Amino acid sequence: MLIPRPLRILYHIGLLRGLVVGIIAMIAGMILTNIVRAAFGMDTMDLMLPLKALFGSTVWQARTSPDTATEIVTGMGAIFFTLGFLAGVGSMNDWFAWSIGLKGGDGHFHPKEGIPTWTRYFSFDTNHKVVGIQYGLTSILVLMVGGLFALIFRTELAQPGLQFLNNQQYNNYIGIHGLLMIAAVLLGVGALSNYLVPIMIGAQDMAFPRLNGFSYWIGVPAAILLLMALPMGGFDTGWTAYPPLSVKAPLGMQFVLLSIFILGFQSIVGSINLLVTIFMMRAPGMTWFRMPIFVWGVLAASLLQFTATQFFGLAFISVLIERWVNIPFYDPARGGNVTLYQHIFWFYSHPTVYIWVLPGLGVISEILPVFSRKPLFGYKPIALSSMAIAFMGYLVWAHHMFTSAMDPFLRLPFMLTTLTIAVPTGIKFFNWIGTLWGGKIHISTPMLFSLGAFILFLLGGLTGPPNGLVVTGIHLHDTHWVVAHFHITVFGGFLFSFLSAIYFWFPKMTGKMFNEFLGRVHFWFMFGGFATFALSLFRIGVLGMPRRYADYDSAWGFGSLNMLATIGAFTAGGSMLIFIFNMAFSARYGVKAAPNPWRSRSLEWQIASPVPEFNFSAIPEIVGHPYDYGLPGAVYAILSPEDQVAPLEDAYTPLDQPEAVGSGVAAVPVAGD
Amino acid sequence: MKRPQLMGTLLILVSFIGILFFLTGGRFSFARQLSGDDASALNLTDDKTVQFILVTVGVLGAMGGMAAAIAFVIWRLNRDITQAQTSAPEPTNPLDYRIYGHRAALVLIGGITIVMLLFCQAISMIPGFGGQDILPVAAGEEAQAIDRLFLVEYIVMSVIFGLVVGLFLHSLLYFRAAKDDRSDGEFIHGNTKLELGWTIIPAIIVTVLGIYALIEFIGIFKEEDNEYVIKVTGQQWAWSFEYPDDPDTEEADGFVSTELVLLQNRPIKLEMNSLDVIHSFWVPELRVKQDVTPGVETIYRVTPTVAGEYSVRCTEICGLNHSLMLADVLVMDQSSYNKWVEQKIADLQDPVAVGQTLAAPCLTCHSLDGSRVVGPTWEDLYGSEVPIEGEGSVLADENYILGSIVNPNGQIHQGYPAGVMPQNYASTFSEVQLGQLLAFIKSQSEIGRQELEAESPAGEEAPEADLQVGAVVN
Repeated sequence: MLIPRPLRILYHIGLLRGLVVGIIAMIAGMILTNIVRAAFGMDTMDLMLPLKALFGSTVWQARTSPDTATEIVTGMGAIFFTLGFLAGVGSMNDWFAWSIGLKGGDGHFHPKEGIPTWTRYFSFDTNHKVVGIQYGLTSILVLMVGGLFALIFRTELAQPGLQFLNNQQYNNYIGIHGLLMIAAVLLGVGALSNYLVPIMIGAQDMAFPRLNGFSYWIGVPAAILLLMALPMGGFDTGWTAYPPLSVKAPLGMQFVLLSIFILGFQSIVGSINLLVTIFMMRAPGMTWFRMPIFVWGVLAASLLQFTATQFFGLAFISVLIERWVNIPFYDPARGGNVTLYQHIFWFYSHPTVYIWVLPGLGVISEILPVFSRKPLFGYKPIALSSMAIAFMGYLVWAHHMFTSAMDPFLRLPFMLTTLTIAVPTGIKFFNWIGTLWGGKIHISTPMLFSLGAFILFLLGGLTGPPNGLVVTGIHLHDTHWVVAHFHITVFGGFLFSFLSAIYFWFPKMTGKMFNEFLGRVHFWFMFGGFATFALSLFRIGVLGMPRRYADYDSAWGFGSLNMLATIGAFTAGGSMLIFIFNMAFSARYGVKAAPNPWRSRSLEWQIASPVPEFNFSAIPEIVGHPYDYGLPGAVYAILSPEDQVAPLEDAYTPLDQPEAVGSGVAAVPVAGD
Repeated sequence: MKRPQLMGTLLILVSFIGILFFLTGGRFSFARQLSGDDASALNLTDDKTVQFILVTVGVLGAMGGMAAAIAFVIWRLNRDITQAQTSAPEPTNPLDYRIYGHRAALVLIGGITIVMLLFCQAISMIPGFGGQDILPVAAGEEAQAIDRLFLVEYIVMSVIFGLVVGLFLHSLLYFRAAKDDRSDGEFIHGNTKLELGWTIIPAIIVTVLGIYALIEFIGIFKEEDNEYVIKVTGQQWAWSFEYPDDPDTEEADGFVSTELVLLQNRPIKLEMNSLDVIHSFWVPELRVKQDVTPGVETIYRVTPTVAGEYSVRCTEICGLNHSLMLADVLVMDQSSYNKWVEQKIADLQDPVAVGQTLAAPCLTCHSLDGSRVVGPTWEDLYGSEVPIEGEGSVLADENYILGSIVNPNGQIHQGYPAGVMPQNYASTFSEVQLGQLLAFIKSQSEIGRQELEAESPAGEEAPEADLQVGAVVN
């Protein structure tokens, strides 16, 4: 080999290849756009400007109302960067090959001589478990960056008066925090559904593995563009980007609009893949009502994601069009309508809340029966309530607009539809209690997080009707009450269940056991810290602190509560470091975990940990219900003896008693059966 | 139920009710609203010391009561579990309290509900945590109606929270498996009657809440007969309020104010508009909130009833200085209100006073005391030498100042970023208004004040106030 090994390894890291090709494409795209503009006699952008700014010879005046040339040239650069990145990372190789009549690869992973296998986690890969882990790691990374921004401005808010941020920085940070967190949550949903759904339904991979890898990698340039918004001048609109403010906002706004538009492809492509997988690839015998409940949550969320994301893209791209070519969608002086944006925007952005929480609630429904050793109470109502929430999620968008310029009486129908969502959500809570009631409850870290999620999501749910009932809603709208409400909802509905899921499936993903003590410490700090934070914000919101205020009058008397909220936020944020240490350390040095440490009946726990490349050597046959805990002799699935490795012995917590009840999975088909 | 257990349960419930009484004795705003007047019988005392002792005793009592309840439940659990283990009953009847501990669950549900009902009240009484009550003062008729609904919601929320969390905690305490217990729970996978129950009952609750809110909504936003109309203009980052001409005097005596002064008990209709981006008009004490949107006139109706000083807070992010977009709201009785109106009409003759009103949006970025905010200060600006980015310096005369208002990026004050100041003032200020604004800026420096005095001896040549309705809004 002429090329030294370290260089070869670097070449095989798709991420680096993508970045290099992306940057080259970006420069080419900017030059090309400049040439085209010059050819049509339009003004051009000084391409040396970013370099000059970088080396300090000029000040990057991005706050100046952006001139169209700079805006369009950098925007085209961003689009070329995305395309170059996707090509460079290799996510479209097979498609290119097919399009020119070549055969292309087989889509499987082939280890190469001298290249370590960890590189596949940083490269384009079609295996759903690799993609799931890529999603998960990116999600946690983005979550930490977004959380860091939150801690920065939360510290600023701890005391009245501006201490170390100015208004511009504050506005930038709240906006970027919101968008990064949304990206993190969507990536987290992608992580869980990509990793778990195929194994849970007894499939060997997703329906479209190449599309699956592509849908992950399109999120990476989107995240990079999103972070670019800050050095490019920031944006002072918050994550909602309401025009006309977003039309006038600095150059950074365009990177936000582009980034979210690109991220939308990830959602749409990913959800198509999941829908087809769930519809077409369930193992024989797995009827709709034999699916694990988590898959129901993913199904409902994917339907929403598939049908609603376009509206988000539409809202953002229309602002971009107004900025680029001056079509006055949102300029009332020229016939535009600013309220229109809010309708389009919330038509996605309300359902998106259910995209986040439905898989999360699915995780809770999945974990409670395992640790209660009892069937999931009301499987069908829980499954159908997910679909009901998904459907009703479409009919409530205008409750985000109760104070907007729409006709005041439109508030009433939307109030009524909003209230009805309480019913299917309530069904889930009562059924969860039914599951716990009369069980044999074991409380370890995943269960703790699910129970914490239960309480937080309950608080989030109960603080919803005061927002939804117009009369009190118009007092609470756009205050810190609302901030507390959606944070507690997303923490309960998504983040705690996501962490619960990571702890629960960590032994399956890595084959190692995490440290139980650190897990518990993480839970209590996170729960206590977050509850302190949220409850303080509820109170100052009701008392009159509006959202997105960089500063507040000390005479309003919010100082102590804001300080308390900041302490809570730091406690919760700091506990995430314990989590990351626990995960990283345990993945490397942890105790080897048994294939089925939680004695679950679900399919993924019957096979080896970590899961083999193709999950099952032969497709299993489903013959029963997944949650028949406590029913002696119940059988859920028949696996080939080769796959069935879980010995039903608990290697993690050695116990002297043998299994009292049938495991739920017959290792070998019973003779004569 | 055996007598000692009954007694224990009753004692705890009674102690909770006693605590509720003590806690609410001082100042339970919801209770006051229900009874209809401030001097209600519940208001035991105004003595701060006595109140403090009552509150302390109440909070400690509530915590002690909860601790007692939980201790009681755990005691019951232990005993029942021991019993269940020794007698090893078959789990045949799901109503068997020895196996399921229904009574302990009831105590938990009741206890948590009551603690929740007290929770906000107890927190609001800790000194330094933002005032006395759960909500700010209810300063208008709408606010009182809205607070009634808040009370209903709060009770419903507390009861549901108590029910769910009570059952939840009970399950965790009661059905916790022993360490070495590897057996499974009972095979119960559902119950149709229960499912129907917890679908239909919440549906009824939300329907009733919805209808109640609907009735209140119609009452709150109905038109009144004698509404006084004020035009509100929002722009980055200030509010201005335009009072109409008095129909009795038939003179052009309408005026613009930077503070919203309202007459007590007079229904108000605000016609709101925005010059640039979306803002939102909110006075926490009046509870009502309405966006101020460019291109659409939005309406805000309110009847202030309690005199006092409040503030408008913009609640829709509107760019850089969103958090500074505040204005004072003063609710006055008839005599103070008349005095204020007379003063404002008298001020119409004084260009500096009018200029000061017009300058309100400027003052979020330009200080009057020499401090640096966003843009350069106006203190001693007129007549001084201003350093210009890349051009040396220039004398701040009338041309420079007017030029900087209508074309802010023309000459950039050294050390200040370009492009921050809105560039539409040429269209939002009339020429007369620019003159008044200039007069106000002049009045901030010694040189300017001398010029002003020389120009207008005894105020005779004061320019005609052309601030008719609509002038500011173009």
